[in-house]
Amino acid sequence: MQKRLLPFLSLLLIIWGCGEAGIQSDISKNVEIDPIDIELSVQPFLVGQDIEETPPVPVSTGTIDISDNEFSEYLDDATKFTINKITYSIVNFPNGSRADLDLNIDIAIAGGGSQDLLEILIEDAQDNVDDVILYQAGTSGNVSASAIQALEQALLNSQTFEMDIEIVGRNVNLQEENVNFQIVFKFDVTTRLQLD
Amino acid sequence: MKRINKIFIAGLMLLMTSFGLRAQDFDAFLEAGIADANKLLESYMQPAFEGFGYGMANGWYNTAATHKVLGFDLSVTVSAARVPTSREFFTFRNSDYSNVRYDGGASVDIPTLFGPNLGADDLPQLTFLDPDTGEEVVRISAPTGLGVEEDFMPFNAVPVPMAQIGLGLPKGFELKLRYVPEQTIDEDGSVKLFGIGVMHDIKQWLPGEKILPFDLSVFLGYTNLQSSIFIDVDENQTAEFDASSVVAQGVISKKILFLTAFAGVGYSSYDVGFNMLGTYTTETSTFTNPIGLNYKKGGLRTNVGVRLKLLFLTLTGEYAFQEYNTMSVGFGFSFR
Repeated sequence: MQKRLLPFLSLLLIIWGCGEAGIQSDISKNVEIDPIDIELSVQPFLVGQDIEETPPVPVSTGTIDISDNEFSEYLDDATKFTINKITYSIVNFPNGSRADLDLNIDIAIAGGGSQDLLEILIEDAQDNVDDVILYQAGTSGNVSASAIQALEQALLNSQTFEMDIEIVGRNVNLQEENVNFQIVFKFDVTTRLQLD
Repeated sequence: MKRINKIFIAGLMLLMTSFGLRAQDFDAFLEAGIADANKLLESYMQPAFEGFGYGMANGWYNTAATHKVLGFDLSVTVSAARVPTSREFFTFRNSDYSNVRYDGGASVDIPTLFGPNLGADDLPQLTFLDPDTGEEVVRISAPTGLGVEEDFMPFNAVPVPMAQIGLGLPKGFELKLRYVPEQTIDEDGSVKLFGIGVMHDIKQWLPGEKILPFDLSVFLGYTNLQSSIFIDVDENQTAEFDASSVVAQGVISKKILFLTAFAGVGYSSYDVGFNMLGTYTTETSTFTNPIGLNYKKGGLRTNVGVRLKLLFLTLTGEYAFQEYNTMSVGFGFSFR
């Protein structure tokens, strides 16, 4: 009872003071999802050689649950989610090797069918160690607006989603037969709360 | 009064609510640094505590005429300390904070508790940083005001209720008492109030006092309200609110039939403290007595008012000119 008294009184005053308008607030977080392990491979005899294209490598993020992991306490009062920004960074790309990466990213919401999110060529992936913007709200780009809307609705519905990525190395020069590195995606997300 | 006091004590929770914060991110608020948390809360709550301090000085008297010996009165007043426009916003300066920042510039104006109720699109975002790494933890809309003026009252004010008795003593003295013994509010906390005032008729010492067509007195009053609320009994966490007010004035009044006009001039001061006591543990840190706010000020106080007396019943209206101009209305009973 004691633990509930103060929030109750606070809420009482808010309602008392704010009338029908209630309280509106935005809570934003830049959420980093688990790094995705990627392995680019070339035939042994092509180590150290320039090659135009590697075979496609399919990877998946696994289930991403931003709503429940980062915004669970707000979901009851959330009126909308906005994805402000999606960024990526490349980590642990071995020194000496280089590659452009052609990424084709689909999303699947709550285990449903997949839809295109974006297709992008990352030049000199090995140099992109800091966050690079893939998508920014309000700017035109090569990200599917309908996919972003679907993602925002999924966040509001507390649904999980998964990103399936097909990666093709281009203009590749690897110093090892197998090169392992990670891509780290971050979703900058805002939830708008309405406390009535 | 209990309700008002509890509301004040709920200040910290109120800040959370106004932020829209939940426990998980309230940790970030504390972890951003006790100094930052106190600074932000102090600025946000300032008009509420100051208004309460000013409001406590009101309602002491409604005439300069002291009671006859053993004459007495009982009165109840409600004061509304009007929040000045300058206290509807406070300026958040990045340079004043270590781990909270506004990214849109060096400073920004943010509503206080008694500021307007702004929508999220009109509120600046504050970024809370991890004090160890400097990395962003969460961005939150600045707390909004309650919009009291818009929705609740005809003007933006802090309400302060008060009750007291006055007793006539020999030699032109009158004793005034405000007293509420310690009241335990279920298992939630307690509140107590004590106030004492003395009014003395100084007209009796003036030459020709019989022909002077008014009453003239001096008044000195002190009020103290203390309250504590258990935030979590098991964890020994409490919030304490301690407010004191002193007022010293000369008072003049003139009675015409059943109407008495009165005015006072002098000095008043307040000292209001709010402390959150106990040990609070977040995921990464432990804080002891994390919040301590204090507001203290004094200055000239001038007031005017009118009392309507119908047999024993009194109805009073008063207006005090001070930093928070304060309007009071009251009723009571007065004998002799």
